[in-house]
Amino acid sequence: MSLTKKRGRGMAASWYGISRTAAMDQAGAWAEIDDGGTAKVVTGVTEIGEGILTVLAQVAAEELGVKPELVHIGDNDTSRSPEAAHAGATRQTYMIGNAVAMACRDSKDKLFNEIAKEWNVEKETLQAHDGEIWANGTNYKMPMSEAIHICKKKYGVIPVGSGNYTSHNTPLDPVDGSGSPWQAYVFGGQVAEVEVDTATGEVQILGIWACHDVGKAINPKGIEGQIEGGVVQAVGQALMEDYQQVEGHTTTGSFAKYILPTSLDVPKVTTKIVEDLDPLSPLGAKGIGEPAMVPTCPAIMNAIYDAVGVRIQSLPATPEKILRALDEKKRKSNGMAIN
Amino acid sequence: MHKLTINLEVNGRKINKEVNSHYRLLDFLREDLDLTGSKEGCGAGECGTCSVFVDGKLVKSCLMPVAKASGKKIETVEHQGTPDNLSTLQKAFFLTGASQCGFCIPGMVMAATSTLRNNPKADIEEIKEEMGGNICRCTGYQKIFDAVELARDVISGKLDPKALEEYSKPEASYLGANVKRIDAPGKVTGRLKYAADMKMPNMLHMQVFRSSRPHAKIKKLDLSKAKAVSGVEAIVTCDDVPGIDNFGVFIEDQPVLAKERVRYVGEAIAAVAADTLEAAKEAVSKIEIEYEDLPALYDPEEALKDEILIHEHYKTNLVKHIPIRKGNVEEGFAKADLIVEEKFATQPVEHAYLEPMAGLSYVDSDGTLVIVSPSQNITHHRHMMSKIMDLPINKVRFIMSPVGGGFGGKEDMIYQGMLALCAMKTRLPVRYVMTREEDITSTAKRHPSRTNYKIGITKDGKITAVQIKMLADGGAYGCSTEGVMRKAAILGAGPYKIDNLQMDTFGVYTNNTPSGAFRSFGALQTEFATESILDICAEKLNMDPFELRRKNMFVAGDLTHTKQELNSASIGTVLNELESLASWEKGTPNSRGASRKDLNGKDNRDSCFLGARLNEKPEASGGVK
Amino acid sequence: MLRYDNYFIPKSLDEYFNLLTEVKDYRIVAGCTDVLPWAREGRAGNVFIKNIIDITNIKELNIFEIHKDKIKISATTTFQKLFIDPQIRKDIKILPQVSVWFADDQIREQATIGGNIVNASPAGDGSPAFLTLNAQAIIMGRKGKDIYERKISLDKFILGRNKVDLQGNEILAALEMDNTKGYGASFEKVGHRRSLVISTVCVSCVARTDSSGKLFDDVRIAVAGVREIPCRLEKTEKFLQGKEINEQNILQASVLDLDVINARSRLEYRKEVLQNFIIRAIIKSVSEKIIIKENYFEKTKIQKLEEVHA
Repeated sequence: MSLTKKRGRGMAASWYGISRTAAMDQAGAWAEIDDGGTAKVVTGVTEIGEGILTVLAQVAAEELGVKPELVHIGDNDTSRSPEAAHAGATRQTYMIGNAVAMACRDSKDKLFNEIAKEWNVEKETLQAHDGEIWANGTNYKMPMSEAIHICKKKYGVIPVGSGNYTSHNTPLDPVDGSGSPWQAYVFGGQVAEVEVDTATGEVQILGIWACHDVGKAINPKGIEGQIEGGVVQAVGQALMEDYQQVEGHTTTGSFAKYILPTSLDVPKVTTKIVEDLDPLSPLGAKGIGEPAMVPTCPAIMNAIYDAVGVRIQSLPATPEKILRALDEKKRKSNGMAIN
Repeated sequence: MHKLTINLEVNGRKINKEVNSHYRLLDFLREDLDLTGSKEGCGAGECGTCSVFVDGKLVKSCLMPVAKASGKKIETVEHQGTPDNLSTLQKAFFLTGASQCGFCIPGMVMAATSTLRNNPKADIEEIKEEMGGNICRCTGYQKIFDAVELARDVISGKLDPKALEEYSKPEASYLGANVKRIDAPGKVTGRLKYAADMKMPNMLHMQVFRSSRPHAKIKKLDLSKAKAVSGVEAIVTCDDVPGIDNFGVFIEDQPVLAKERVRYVGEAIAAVAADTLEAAKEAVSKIEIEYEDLPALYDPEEALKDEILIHEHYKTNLVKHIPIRKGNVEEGFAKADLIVEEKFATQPVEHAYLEPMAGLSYVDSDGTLVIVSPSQNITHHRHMMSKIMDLPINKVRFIMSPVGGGFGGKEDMIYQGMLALCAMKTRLPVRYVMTREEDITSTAKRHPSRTNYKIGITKDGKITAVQIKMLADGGAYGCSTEGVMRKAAILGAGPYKIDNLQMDTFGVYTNNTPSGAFRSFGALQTEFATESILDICAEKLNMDPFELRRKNMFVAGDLTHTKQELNSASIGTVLNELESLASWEKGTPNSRGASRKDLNGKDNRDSCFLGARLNEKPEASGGVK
Repeated sequence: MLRYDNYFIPKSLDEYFNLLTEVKDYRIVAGCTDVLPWAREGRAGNVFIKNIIDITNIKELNIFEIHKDKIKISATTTFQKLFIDPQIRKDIKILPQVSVWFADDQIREQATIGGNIVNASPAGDGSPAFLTLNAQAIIMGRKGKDIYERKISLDKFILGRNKVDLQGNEILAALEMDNTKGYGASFEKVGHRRSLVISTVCVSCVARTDSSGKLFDDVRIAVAGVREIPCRLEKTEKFLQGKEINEQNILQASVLDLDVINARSRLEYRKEVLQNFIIRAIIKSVSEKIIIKENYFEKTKIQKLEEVHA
């Protein structure tokens, strides 16, 4: 049956801005190196699935010198945690990641003040990683659990840190739109390979190659997951999803009618991460949530054109639209009038 | 409520219990046994978040009346493992990063368990087929497939179980390391509680009476019969709002409950809180309303004429117009060798997060109003709520519950206001869980768009001018339309240096379902047009599509469309890396699929046919007498 | 939300028929995979039915017989049973093929063939496959104290959208169908995706050649999704009977029954796909043996045929 199935490839590029658009963006966090060499981070954020809690645990572990599994992240609660604002706009890693980094640096600085006294060394010689603290150029070294014990019991200091991160985004001019809507931009591109069945108009997306700049990649596997998920949401938009209404009444009001991609509809996704570090922020990370799905639809439409010579300019590219376009193309090439 | 007695075994425990006779197995597990690992994503067998084993066969528990389960052995996700003692499959999900929001994951773990029980050697095609009834909206399924294949290989002895623990601790830095997701054990075991899984003593259930008209005046609303339903504790309408009754992400134009008029089908009009879900539903069905239909708008072009106004006090249906001007497009087009004009359109899209909207509200002992919900923006919500409820901000507390997928869809505060009104009025905890159908019809969508595009380009591929006009249907309320128009405008012309640009995006009100925030927020719509038209140009110019983009792409120091100097621009690196990653064969995009040599590489999946588990491939089953 | 006061699970036909006389306001269910989604917003909404009667445990309906010429299976047989049963897989190839396209594995564990037929949805996947097996509906009823049985061919049993020929207290008890051992089979379906999806067009075909492998001996094709009632394509079948297996005959046959389409929407699309499916289904159902054994319908010809059509 292979001859009714035609393959083709297409590509598309994209760009995206990180954090809130054309408006000052800010996030706050608290951090505390806690008993037993653990850590507590409180900030207004909860997982929406993107992996932010793990990213924040990694940031806190790195900055405080503790193990990530010993970082506890408090709940997002407007009365109990500092404001970190919304979970969207591809701002979590950039805004809250940096806020947590700043809070951790503040906390660690407070611990280091006391340990420097304890060891009678310059604070600048101190370093901490993976649950240990030491002074460079000396034999001084101890577990973080002991350091925090000394800091509290001997010097009476709880190393509570706070941090804030600001992205200085400016509004657009209302007349010509000029302005600096974001500090950080990311770029991406994708190639799609499709198979179009000319007997039914069905399109299968067999492969997507996705290359995205994310700044510093804090958790590469998490980034891959975001790209794969974004690609598949875009596959849905490209091929099948269509919320329809007749005179304001939806006709696709259930998952029986509103069709989503299942395991049988998704491409294999091959990802390559590009790390162009953000020069303005402490971590150098940018983001990936939203940018991941921007180039997918045009890459697919370009691939369909490559495969069968019809260009779908009105999404989604349903089997019916494809067959109709193929018929029109046939009529055109037969020199018959269209209409 | 009528009851029946059932005898069954759940996760090895024998249970003899009186239950509501109309319960589905899912209701019984969640409400009576608090086994909330089984989720209700759609209630109609379409999503697989509720999959459980019944006598060893995996079924969707939303499609099974509890009476049918009597006498049977039930096994739920809670039986598969605990966060400190994960099953092989759960460990594999943990290792590969297969859970994101986690809402589909208990069902996925069950479907994967069933797949490997049925065939411990299932190949990838069989795995995909057998898991075809479980929808995931976050992961794109890749890491789920990886997990199932990994677990299969461990179970079949092909891989050492140590492969499941494999995680190399980074030497130097945790930044850049694949640290395993810290939230995964709670998700793969179904232990994490989402808003709909939470319960409080004396909790009431809220249900909402919604508009059946796209645009109408409310002439009369009669609650008397509804109030008389036994178990009803409160019914709230717009008259119950103590403060300023408006909310919205960019402009606050939406009342908590419809005030005098309805602007779309599905708009909330009244909310009932009752001691059971059934009583609340019954009361909603007894609310009587009289409408006076108004002429309605469904087409954004029509809306631009302002002949019918959706929000009269604004005197226009235009929600937002964002203009961007750079250089002079007339001059730019004059320099072009080729001018292409095309039209593009995109459809409204549902977020389809697997967790339907849900929330729980109560009033604390100190008078603080608490709202627990999977809101993507609790900071802004508490500001709006304090105005709506006329409370100081410190008396409004929002708690963000784990979000079972958001994608922008949970940025609007569309139900928290009603919950708060019910909680304040009754001083009892109130829970609201939308059905999938209610969620689809009443919550915001991705803006459908129509774009007119004109591009001028020289024969060697340099863009001289671009003129774009996008019109988007914002639906009945403003939601995120303003922001979406802005992002669509700023990014729409793509990562290319264009000296002469005229970009306009318009968002308008209609009587369609509101459009709101959705992952990629306007940029998806306009960049789709740009990337399509560039391929059209590349064909006409006989140029490779990568090449055409390289000729125009930004480099550090360039001014963007909004005249911002870029401190860095990685697009060149990205294009080079992509071209080699995909082993792209250079050439003009002139439908050369049949002759290109870079197809069918190893990084494609196989073309899907159904029947991977049949002995005979359906491709050929010829019969002879 | 579906609400009811009582859920009855009768264990025998007598108990079942007694119930029907004892209770009023009832609905008969089997797998429940249609009734529960039906009682939701956008469809029937909140529904109250006082009594639900579940027929899946009636002992007399526990029938699963495979004979040389015929098979007899109860209406309460699940689609998953048709998918996994080894004998069915071997001999009645159309059944596992239609099953794998039917909903998904989990729904197939509950959904019954009788439910699919009695719901009589124009897009139901099951009926066209059963039609190609010359299915007879076995109906049982009770008059006074006597339980009777009647047989009616499936195409006569389905009367219209959601309408079947059940009178009084009658129940669809079983299907009797041809054992198509030695036949090739093909089930073609298109919807908006490949799993858990409603058919826009589906075609079921069982076929065999004569002993020479050169002539069509028996070709049976049925369609659904394109009209209110699924049906066999009689002109196509008749035309092919005894004809030589070649490109021209298949192409000619493929247009003979396109007027069966009587859908409410997407007519042009359905017509084009239906013809493509008829061609594809016939080729798949007869090709393998021919390519391998007779080397008659060589690969290139099939490809050419498809090219002509593509």
